[in-house]
Amino acid sequence: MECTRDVLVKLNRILKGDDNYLTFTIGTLSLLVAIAIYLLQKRKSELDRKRNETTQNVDKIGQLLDSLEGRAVQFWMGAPNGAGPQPDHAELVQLGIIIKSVTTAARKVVELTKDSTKPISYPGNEFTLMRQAVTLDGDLHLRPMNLNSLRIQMIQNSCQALRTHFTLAPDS
Amino acid sequence: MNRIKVADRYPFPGPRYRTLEKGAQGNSSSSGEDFRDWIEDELRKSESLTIDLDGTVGYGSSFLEEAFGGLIRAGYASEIVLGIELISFEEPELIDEIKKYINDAIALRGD
Repeated sequence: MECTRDVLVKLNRILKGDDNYLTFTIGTLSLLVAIAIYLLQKRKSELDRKRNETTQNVDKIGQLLDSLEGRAVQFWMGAPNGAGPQPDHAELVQLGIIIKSVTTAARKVVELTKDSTKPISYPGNEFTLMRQAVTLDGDLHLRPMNLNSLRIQMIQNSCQALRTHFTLAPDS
Repeated sequence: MNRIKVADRYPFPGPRYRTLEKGAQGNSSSSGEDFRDWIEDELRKSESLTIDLDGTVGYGSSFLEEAFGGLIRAGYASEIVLGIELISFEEPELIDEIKKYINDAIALRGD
């Protein structure tokens, strides 16, 4: 209590003249403006960071989807136990790992955009369709499939749907 | 309530059948068939089971179909298999996908 009173007494002594009050007011206003500018800058930096991270993850999703689609189409259009780098089932396991990388990046994008004006949702159904189209092994005996087969169409359509879903609007 | 985490035993979920995997990766097996055996062991201990799907490198649909649809084909009652609680924060769509495999297997069995 005494300490507070001392401070007030000292402040009163300092502000005895009108000029001193004016100086104090200007100083206080300057401080408030500086704090406001700092907070705005901080918020802008945070928005920029989120925007950059979102762009990086969206780019990553696009690259992973390109890679996944290419490998999956090559696999299903290839001959069984063909000259690919992996045995058939091992390749399907690898494709499942790529899908997890896509879903992981997708969750990051959802988290980064959840407070923005254009939030991006998590497209669970599209991921299910893609996982089934790429990794369900029921049709393995039908390989090599042709480009017009339902499986190849499903792979291409699901990858395209996800690419479209994870396209950033110009101002987002 | 019994609870298991897939990643504790199968951090790298493999193909549908163990025979497919042994040819590719030696003796260790992490097939859907192996996972189904694990679930069956746990169901023998308690029919109230929770399975945490998070923490693996990723699932192929065949692994999931063999594990869960396979339980129906192995003769487990629909309500027991559908009563298994599934958890996935990382890929929440897996839960609906698995339920679809269970229901497809139930429909094929003609329950």
